[in-house]
Amino acid sequence: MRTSRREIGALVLGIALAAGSVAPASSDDSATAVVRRFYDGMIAVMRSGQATRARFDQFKPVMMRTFDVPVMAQRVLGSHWSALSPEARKRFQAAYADFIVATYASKLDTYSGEKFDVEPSGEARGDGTLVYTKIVDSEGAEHAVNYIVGRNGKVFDTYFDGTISDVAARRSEFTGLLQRSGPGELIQSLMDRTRKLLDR
Amino acid sequence: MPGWATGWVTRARNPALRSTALTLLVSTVIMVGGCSSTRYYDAESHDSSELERVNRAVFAFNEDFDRQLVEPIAQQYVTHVPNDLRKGIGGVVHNLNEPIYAINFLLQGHVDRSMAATGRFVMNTSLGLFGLIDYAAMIGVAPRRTSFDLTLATWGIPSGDYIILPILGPSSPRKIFADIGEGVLDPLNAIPALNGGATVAARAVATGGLRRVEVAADLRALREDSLDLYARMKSLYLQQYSEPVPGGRDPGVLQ
Repeated sequence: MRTSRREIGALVLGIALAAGSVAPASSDDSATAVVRRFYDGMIAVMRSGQATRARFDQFKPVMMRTFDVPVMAQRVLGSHWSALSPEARKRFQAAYADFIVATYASKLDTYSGEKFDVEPSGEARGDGTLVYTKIVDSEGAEHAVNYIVGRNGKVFDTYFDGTISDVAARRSEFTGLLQRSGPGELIQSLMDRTRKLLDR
Repeated sequence: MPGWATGWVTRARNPALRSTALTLLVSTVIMVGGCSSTRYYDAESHDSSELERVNRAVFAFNEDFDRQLVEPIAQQYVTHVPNDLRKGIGGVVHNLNEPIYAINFLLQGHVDRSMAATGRFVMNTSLGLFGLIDYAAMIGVAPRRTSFDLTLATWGIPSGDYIILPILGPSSPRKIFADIGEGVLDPLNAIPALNGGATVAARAVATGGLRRVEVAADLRALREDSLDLYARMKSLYLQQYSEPVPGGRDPGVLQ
């Protein structure tokens, strides 16, 4: 079962990539293009109409290509990262990667005309390029979502409503759990929640 | 989101209503805030543990209250009222906030934004039929929200402890003071027809209720993918007031 789902996922992803490459490639091949490709992948998943787990398999490569998970995993634990054993870091990183993919995959269940506008030019920041985008939902409401793209061409934080850092909010959440219950419990909670999101 | 009820408390010019509401507020503040001496924390600091315990308990109560009562009503509203009509209703209610936005933007030193809010109020009240139609947005004057609490934040006044108020949700000593101040500053409250207790309460409930409908999808997502909803929402809330971070092109503007 697992293999066939993978195969379907790979097939759909192939189609998504092909469709994505048809979109006009802009002159700046850098930060804004990274985000644009991410949105193309997102729309493809939304349009696929598949079950949650299949969407997860389809979207994971898109997210791994877009997001700098090792950097995010480190930033999301802040100063606690250095206290983890190499083994725990690896397990946390894997659980965190699956978790963030699941948070997206569980929601991308349908496409109803949402628009994803990426501003053509980003803004240089100390540690990367800030890319401004606007998502217009099916009811016409606008949501400002900005991404910071590092020099390696990968996103390492997302700003909702333009200014609210996703990584910072997760840091408050994760480090509290880490302090109260330890890394094993945090990793287990992430895995449990991932499963729950995908079982919906 | 939860400023609505403090809003009605403070917009009430009716002395009896106001004093009852104030007593309630003040006693809550003393009850909650009293746990944590008078230290002033800023955005990134942590709750003292007793305050966090109380906050978490009130937060759990608010979650129950929302799930049992507020969320079902919001869902019924979305199910039964067509999107266009909802937009119109939202427009009328939000239009009433433009004057206080204009004052706040002025206090923040944003003359252009203040004029935009004033222009929006004039155009949408007249040509937009009391806000039913967002005429101003159609000609390129987009809505922008702000609050007196943000004004005080831009003046560098510390927020004090993060406090969860029953039903009203996330707050702080500065926000409570600001909501009271906003009721006094709001020029619409000088209009006798809008100054009755019932009118003020209706306006506040409508503003809060519509805000709840607007954030319904976000809140559902937050509940689904948070391991510790309290901690995550606290960070999201406090980040609105922190120093402009990358992407913060609009400090002083509420989303």
